[in-house]
Amino acid sequence: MEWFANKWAIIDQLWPFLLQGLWTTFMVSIIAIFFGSTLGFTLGIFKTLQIRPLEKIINGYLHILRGSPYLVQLYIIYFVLPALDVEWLKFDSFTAAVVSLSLYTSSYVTEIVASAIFAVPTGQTEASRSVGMSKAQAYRYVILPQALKMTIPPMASVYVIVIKSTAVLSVIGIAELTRQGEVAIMRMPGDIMFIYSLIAVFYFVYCYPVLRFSKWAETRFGSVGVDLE
Amino acid sequence: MKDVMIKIDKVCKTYHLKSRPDPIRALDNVTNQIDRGEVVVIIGPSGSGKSTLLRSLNGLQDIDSGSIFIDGVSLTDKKTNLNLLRTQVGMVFQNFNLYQHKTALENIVLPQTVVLKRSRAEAEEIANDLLKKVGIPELGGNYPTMLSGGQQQRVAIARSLAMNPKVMLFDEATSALDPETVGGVLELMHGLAADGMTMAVVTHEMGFAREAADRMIFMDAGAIVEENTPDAFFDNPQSERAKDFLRQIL
Repeated sequence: MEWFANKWAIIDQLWPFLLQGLWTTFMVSIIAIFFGSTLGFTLGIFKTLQIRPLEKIINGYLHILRGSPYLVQLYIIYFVLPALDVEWLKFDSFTAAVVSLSLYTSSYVTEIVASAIFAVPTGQTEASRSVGMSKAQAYRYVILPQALKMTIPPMASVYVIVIKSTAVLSVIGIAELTRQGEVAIMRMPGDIMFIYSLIAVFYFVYCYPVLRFSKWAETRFGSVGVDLE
Repeated sequence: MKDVMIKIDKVCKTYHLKSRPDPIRALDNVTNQIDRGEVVVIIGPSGSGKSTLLRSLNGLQDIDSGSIFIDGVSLTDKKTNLNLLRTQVGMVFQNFNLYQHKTALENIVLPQTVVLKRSRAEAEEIANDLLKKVGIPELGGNYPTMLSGGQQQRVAIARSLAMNPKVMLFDEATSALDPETVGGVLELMHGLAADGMTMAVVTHEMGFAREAADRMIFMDAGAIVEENTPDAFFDNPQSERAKDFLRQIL
């Protein structure tokens, strides 16, 4: 009984503090997911247009971003770029966090979108072009609607990875959930185990609905050509 | 004087595949013409270039040299609006290629509203009429996965017809169908031919060729080896290659 009272006191004392961290985590991840997805969708579509030089550039971009740890990318953007003495590259920590996480997100989204477009059978393109649709019309009305449905499950996984990656941002002083937890632990070092578990629960509360939503969206929109009504 | 619908002039196409050391000569200086209202059936062994020829007739396959004219408009001229020209050359595929995310009716409506800018109401009316014409008026609400191959091919034909094409191309349109649905689709094609549609048909259905074709073209190794009326071709083939081919399939 006393144990519960003790832990409850910790929760009671920390929750506004951790909630603030969750809010920052939420803000940073939502902004990064928005910009990262927008950039990723655009690059993903461009990657499939079969324009050789463009494809090479995009592939280079993807290799750099996917072939290096996110922590290193964050350090480069926050510590190295400002040293170049270019005014608009002198990011504050929040901007650096959002920019680096957006780029990181975009690299995964690009691959997902491009693979989904490639996975739509060529017959669909031919059937669109043969009735006189332009390439753009074929993309808009036939290819993309089918491809986007296929992106739902992998996209949800990436979003959850991005949400969890925000924990890394604690190293540049962003007061997100993990950082807030670490600060709390400094105040109550005896309860390190309990506080970390509490942090994990907060992350779970955010990530679980994302995955549930994806499951729902997958059955709702995912199965191409099946009327569920 | 005959009214020429499709003019094919010295068309060449060579494929360079990484997997094969030698380039493949798919079309070797092919020259021919198809008159308005004529039904031409193209046959030949696989790899003879018949599909390549058919696909080049609406620009799905680009050619290396030569020229193709559809009703007097050059398909190979860079100034030609290829998208507009394609609306006039309907194509029916072996694998139907219905838009998987659209119902049968929507498959027929979409190209009309997007390409021809018809109103939705008008496009739907036309689509319903065409579904009736191809014999499946009650299936407009079904998605392609819920239709049999034969039904899907009927929708695909209706989708092409909705564009009011001057020419219809059939690329082995019945090859992927169950035997019992082949007849219905061939009947439909026969009906189109009887209505005066200009048609180029690549098929293995020799019965259909004999009944519906005005002219047979036999291709081998990228070239037209022989052409004749169906009766003359089947009863009395001239070339050794055609004799061989007919012996094997009949």
